[in-house]
Amino acid sequence: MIPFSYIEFALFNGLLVVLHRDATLPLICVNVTYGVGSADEENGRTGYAHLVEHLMFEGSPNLPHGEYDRRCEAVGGDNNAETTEDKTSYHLLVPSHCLELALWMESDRLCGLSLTEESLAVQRSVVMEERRQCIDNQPYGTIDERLARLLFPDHPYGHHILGSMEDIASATMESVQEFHTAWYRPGNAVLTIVGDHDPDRTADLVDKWFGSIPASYPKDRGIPVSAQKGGAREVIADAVPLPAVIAGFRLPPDWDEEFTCLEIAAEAIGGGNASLLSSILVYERRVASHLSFSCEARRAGGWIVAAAFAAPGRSAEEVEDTLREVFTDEVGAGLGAEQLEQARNRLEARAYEGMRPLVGRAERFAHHALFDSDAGLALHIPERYVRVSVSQIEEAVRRYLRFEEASILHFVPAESDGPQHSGRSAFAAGGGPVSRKTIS
Amino acid sequence: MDRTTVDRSKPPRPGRPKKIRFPDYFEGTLPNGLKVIVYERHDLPLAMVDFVVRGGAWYDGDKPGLANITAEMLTKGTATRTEREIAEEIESLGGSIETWTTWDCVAIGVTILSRYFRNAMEILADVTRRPTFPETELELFRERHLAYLLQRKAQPSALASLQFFRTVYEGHPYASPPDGTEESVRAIRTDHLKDLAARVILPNNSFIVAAGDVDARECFETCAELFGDWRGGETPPAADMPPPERTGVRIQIVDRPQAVQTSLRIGHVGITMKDPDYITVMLMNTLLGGYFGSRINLNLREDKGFTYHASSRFDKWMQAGPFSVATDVRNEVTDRAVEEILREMERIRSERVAKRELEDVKRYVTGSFPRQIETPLQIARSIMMIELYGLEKDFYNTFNPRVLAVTPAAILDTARRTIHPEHAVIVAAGNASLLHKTLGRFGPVEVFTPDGEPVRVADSSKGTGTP
Repeated sequence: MIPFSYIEFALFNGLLVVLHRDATLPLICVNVTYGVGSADEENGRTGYAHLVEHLMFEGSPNLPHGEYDRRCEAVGGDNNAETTEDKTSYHLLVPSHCLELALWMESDRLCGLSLTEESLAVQRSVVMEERRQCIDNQPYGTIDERLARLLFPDHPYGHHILGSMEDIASATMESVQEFHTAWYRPGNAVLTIVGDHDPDRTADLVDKWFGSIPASYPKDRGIPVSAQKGGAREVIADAVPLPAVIAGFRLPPDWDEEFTCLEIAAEAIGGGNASLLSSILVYERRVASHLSFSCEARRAGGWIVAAAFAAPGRSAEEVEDTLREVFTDEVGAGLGAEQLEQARNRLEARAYEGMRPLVGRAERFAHHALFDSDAGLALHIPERYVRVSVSQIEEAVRRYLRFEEASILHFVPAESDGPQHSGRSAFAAGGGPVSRKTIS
Repeated sequence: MDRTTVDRSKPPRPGRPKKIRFPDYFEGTLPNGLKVIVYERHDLPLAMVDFVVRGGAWYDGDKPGLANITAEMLTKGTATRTEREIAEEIESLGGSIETWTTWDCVAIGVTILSRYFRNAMEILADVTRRPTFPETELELFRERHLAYLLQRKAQPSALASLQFFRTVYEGHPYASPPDGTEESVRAIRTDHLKDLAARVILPNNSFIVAAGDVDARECFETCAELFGDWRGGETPPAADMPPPERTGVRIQIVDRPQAVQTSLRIGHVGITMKDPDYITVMLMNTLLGGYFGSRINLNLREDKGFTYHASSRFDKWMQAGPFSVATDVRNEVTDRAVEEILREMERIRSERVAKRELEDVKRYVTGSFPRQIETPLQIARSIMMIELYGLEKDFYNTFNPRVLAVTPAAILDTARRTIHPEHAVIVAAGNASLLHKTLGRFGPVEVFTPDGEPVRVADSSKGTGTP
């Protein structure tokens, strides 16, 4: 167990509060996480969770346009926000003597958005440029968007967090305000404060700034746990230098012990330089020159993405055949106990690393408070990997990592120079949060 | 307290800032000249260690990418371990090993669960002292690296950056990327790697920085045991060739016909790491384009909505690195974005900054200090900068007082010395057939292929063709 202490309580209006003290440096992180993400978007309003995340910086009842950033930076603070399918989270990292300022700013924008048509128009443009920069103007840029469609044809996880250009362009003041009002409620939020503070005094300040907001709860989110389905394929001819094959597998929800089993298996299969995929595809057979591998946890079912970028002269078919062989012969025959032990070590180290910076620590506490009603689970992540047995892992692998049920995407170099789409970079795939600004 | 009547219209007053200092750390030097630095933090069972060699891409000579490949190949085979054994050993202990190369150093870094720190140090000693540079591993690495260079050419920001350096540093080592070109990477042989390694990877030309859940005494003793019998040698000469003179405005397009956005780089030669006005330049740049509230970001993103991100920076090495503005903007507004960037560059060197704006940026920079030293990794990398560039030992502790002393007049003087819109190299990676016309209003336009080959433009109204 990670030896950090914390307290967790709820205000009468439904807001959950988590407080953790670490006075190593005079810094404090204030995180507010809302139970809303791109999975809550209706047809014709894709991208709204992320657009509203941007708008949260554009003005609230007592903070006119530009004031949030100005006040944050004027004390040397940093802020950012990120949206996933499941949640939207905001953080401020400021010198600890500015804690109350942070609580004032965060509570004000929970109360409401105060926007002008002009700032809405600017942020629509900013988000469209974000989409171009991350998706449309990058080689392989549409991997995540296309794979989500293949993996989740029947589910709200099936559209990209950034949304479609049409939906963003047509977002009106009324529709974004409606989205904010529906989801930004104390009963749908967790306030997490970690760093250099006195939790007793902080509890009073929280009560002062957040306790006065009337109680309210969101409607039921009703995101169904995704049923396993697969085997979809797509071939894309695009402006890419080398073929790439992307295999996606759907996973059980992140609260399920089976998910932990698959996280360990995934780490053994594709995590790091010494993993099975890397050893066979890159070093032994040399069919791929680069791999990108990720295992994403989600409330209604996560996914594994293995993206293999072909070595010069190799075809997408050769890459896929080798991937299939690894999954069928190696993974299917059972991952060795030693390989799994090594994977557990790596996941344990990563769990500690994730809890190292205050921003990451607050994010973990908030996640478990919001979804599991128990912030303390954040401290037990390292043990999670020790608890499951090799036979449990093998059983989960048999159920979820069958290659014939994977969704497969091929990217092949196109000859034409007509209009094309294109990934974040040649070297990443697999989904993940979308941030408000570039991390410097 | 009456909760319903809290007055939200009045922001709460901040309390009193706490004093903060850069943390203390251990330093010791082995008789062979290898310096060992340790910063202890025991709250989590993690440790990291960097082995840093003062011998970066500057020493590539006529083989761009040589230092980078040499560094990469250190972990691809030693007298006692194969490439696979090194990767497996480190990763099985929950760790990772990586190498990186800058103009001034190559470094090998390991992060690991602290209970395996000793194992990590043994591997680090093995890869730095006994690399064998096997032929077969070089061929494998070359193949992957060539694929990477091919992929790089498809990325708009990389294309803009490569062309920018080619032009700004024509005739200077900084013109070539530290990770090499296809031509240079094809020509590198294992002998070249061995020669460079023998020349620069020496105990008296290197230092070790460890941080995290590590005991300083124990770490020093481990280093003495693992590195103590390694003999030093003559250290290579420091980088000594100044960059070329600035030569007026250049407008260059790297053609990407399929682009829906233009990746822009605008700038020129800047300052060295040892510039006497380092602090003032840093503060001036923060104001211009170095933080979210900077002029360039507020203008291009928050006011105009041209981009998701716009910023400026000074890269600083032993010789003067570039000043550059970077942003990605949609095709239709590319010329207006260039105009706004040039306007901001002109404004900062012609108008004295208002007191309030300067106060804001000073508070931002000084208030950022604790965020810069939050994690052991950040502290280790800060110490690395002191060591590598010979900065004063109290550099970080005198940082804030020096920032606070900067005047509006000093900002103006420094901007006049270091910002030169009249010498701006403007590189746009994007659709040449659209951009050729719109960027023409800033001067004659040159068009290049992704490889940096000039393209003759027959008729700009019909666009350009790449071969």
